[in-house]
This record gives sequence, structure tokens and C-alpha cells, in this order.
Amino acid sequence: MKIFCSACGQTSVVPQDHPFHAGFSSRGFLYCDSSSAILEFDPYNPRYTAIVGDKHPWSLNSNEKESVENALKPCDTGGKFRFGVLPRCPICNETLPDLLPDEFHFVEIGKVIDADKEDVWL
Amino acid sequence: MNRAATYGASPWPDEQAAPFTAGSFCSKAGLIVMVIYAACCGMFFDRTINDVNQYTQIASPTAQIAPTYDADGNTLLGSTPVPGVSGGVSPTVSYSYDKENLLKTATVGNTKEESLYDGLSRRVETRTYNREPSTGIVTLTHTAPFVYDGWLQAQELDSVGSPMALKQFAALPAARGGGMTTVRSYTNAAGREGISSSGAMRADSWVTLPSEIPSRAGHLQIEKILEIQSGRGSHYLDFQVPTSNLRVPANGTTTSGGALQFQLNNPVFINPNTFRRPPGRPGG
Repeated sequence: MKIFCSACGQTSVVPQDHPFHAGFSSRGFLYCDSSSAILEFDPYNPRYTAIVGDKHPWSLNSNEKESVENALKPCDTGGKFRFGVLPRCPICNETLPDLLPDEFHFVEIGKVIDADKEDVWL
Repeated sequence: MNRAATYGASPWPDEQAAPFTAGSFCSKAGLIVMVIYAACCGMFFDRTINDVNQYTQIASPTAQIAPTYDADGNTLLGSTPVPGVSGGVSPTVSYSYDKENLLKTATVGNTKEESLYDGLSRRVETRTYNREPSTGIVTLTHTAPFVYDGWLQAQELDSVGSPMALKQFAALPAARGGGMTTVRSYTNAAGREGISSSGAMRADSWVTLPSEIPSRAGHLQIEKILEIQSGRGSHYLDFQVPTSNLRVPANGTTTSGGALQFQLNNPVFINPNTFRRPPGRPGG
């Protein structure tokens, strides 16, 4: 995929051909609120289910989302991983409001943190 | 009957599509005036109804139209409220019908949509024409064939013979009424383990229909059709659900790969032994 940033006028190229469907990919995701990093996890991740039970990430209410967010370590950049945050350009760090077609899709445009394998849970 | 209002595929928004709330009803000089509040645009519409429940006048605070009908009750001249359009009642649409009372044409200004039917009265194609006012030249601007699954409209294509589906009708299983529908869910090894250990598919899980996936499709093709992240479609499970347990997701009826998509309203118990793997699957 080629991703054009209207803020800096630069084009980034990412390996994926299309935005990933979180539902069919069975993936939860949160973007960092201050960088292009994304954190992903499996909906059956025991650290995740210990917080919200048997609920898919796309089904969480605002309190449950906040609970998951608060259970995650901050991003390397000092930012916070949050549901519903827009992805950011890896070049200029401005948000990319038109990149994702809806709240169920995600694009790995920056650093990818796999919360199923990495020590990111508090 | 007001057939025109039942054609959801018309290029003009119809009443069924707007989130109206019926407001109040009152009698007025032998006529019934129904006040309908269109929540979408924050506007009230006064509608006058005749003794056979046909609208004879539709008025917003700034515009009005008087629909007319033929002897069979078909709307000849009508209008539909368009959310966000100034005046609230726009545009004026004129309709014509064939001998079977099937909608033949719908015309707005210089644009006409023609509907074609097969011998079973199924609408198989619409053709949109535009007339250039200055020259009178009429041009075919759009053709939309429809594909049927029995009596049910299953797809709208972008042009004759094109394999690209612009619109799929997700009501397909639901339109079959009650009963059960076989659906398919994809996941990876970790997801399979999680689903197997719980013995159920969670509520809000995303599923498609097995018919949406070509039988010999490899994992790369499946990933493209369902927009699956690389490697995360390496296991799948077919299972039956009550049709009433399926809903159209908030982001629409189809994936960008053109597959019908649904979400489960409620959890569904599954047999973990029925998991399968697509051909050419990746590891994991």
C-alpha cells in the first residue's frame, strides 16, 4: 500500500496490500497517540481476557476500552496506546484521517508491537 | 400500492431509507394530515392522505409536491425527502410502469433510469440516461445488472459482464426467513485454540458465507477477499446459526474484497473438531 500524507506531501509504502479487517483477522489494535506505532493483540490473549472477559476488542464499551488502555505500558515515544486514535504519518507524525475506512480496519504504518509476544502489559 | 417507494435500488433516496419518526395524526376537513418528523434533517413534513392512504400532498416548511397515481395505484409523480436538501422535499420524480405494473422508468430532470425485467418479472438491469438540455442528445451513462439467487437479488454489478460487485445484498440469508444459515469464520492457530477451549464463537464475531469463498481458494486469495492480516486466516470453521442471529455490520454489507460479511448477535456453541485449514495455508 502507498500512503500519502497530505500534511507533509510524502508517500509511505507499507508491505500490506490493503487495510486489515480486525474482525476477520481476529485482532485487537490500538495506535499510539503520539507516534505511528500500533499495538496489536489476539482477542483470546489471556492478559486481555482477564480484563474484559469474553468480549471482542471491537465490542468494548468506553469503560472497558479505558481499562485495557490503562493495562498497557506506554509507547517508547512516551505516548499512550488508545482505542480510536488515528494513525500517524511515520515521516511527519501528523495524523492520517483518511487512511482507515472505518474503526474495524487497521494499517501497520509504523512500529508494530505484538502484545501477545512482547512484555507490554502492566 | 406505491410501488415506486419500494425500489430501494433507485438512484433517488426513498422513504424507507430515511429514519423517520411518525409524529401526530389528526383529522382535517375529511383528510388525514400526518406530520412526520425526519430526524435526519430536523424537519417536519406535512403529508395529506386520501381515502385510500395515498399521499396527495407532501410539504416541508419551504416546499411542497402533490403526488399523482394511476388507476392501479402506481405513483406517477412523486417526490422524496432528501436529508440535507434545502427545502426538504426534492427532487420531483416521474415514474412509468409496464402492463404488469413493474416500474419501467423513473425520471428526474434530465436524468432517466430505465428498469429491465426477465420473464419472471425480476428486475435484471437498470440503465441510466442523461439528456443534454442544450442539444437534446441522450447518453447512456450507467448500466447496473443485477444477479439473482433464486428470487433474491444477490448482487448489483457495475456494468454488463463485469465481475466487480458494487453492491451485495446482505439481506440474502435474512431474506430466506427463519431457519438456519451456514456461516464461516476464519482465524489462526491461537484463535482456534481460544475458540476451542471456550467451545463457542463469541458474540460480535465476524463471519461470511462459505459460498463467498471459492472452493479452491488458497490462503492468499482468502486473505484478500476477507482483508485478513497475513497468516491469520490459516484455520476456518463452518457452523450453523439461526438466521436471526446474524446482523449486517456497521461498516457495511461487504468487505473490500467483495465478500458478504455478518456479525453474530449472540454466542454460538461450536464443535472444535470441525475446524479445517484452507489449501496452501501458511504455518501456524
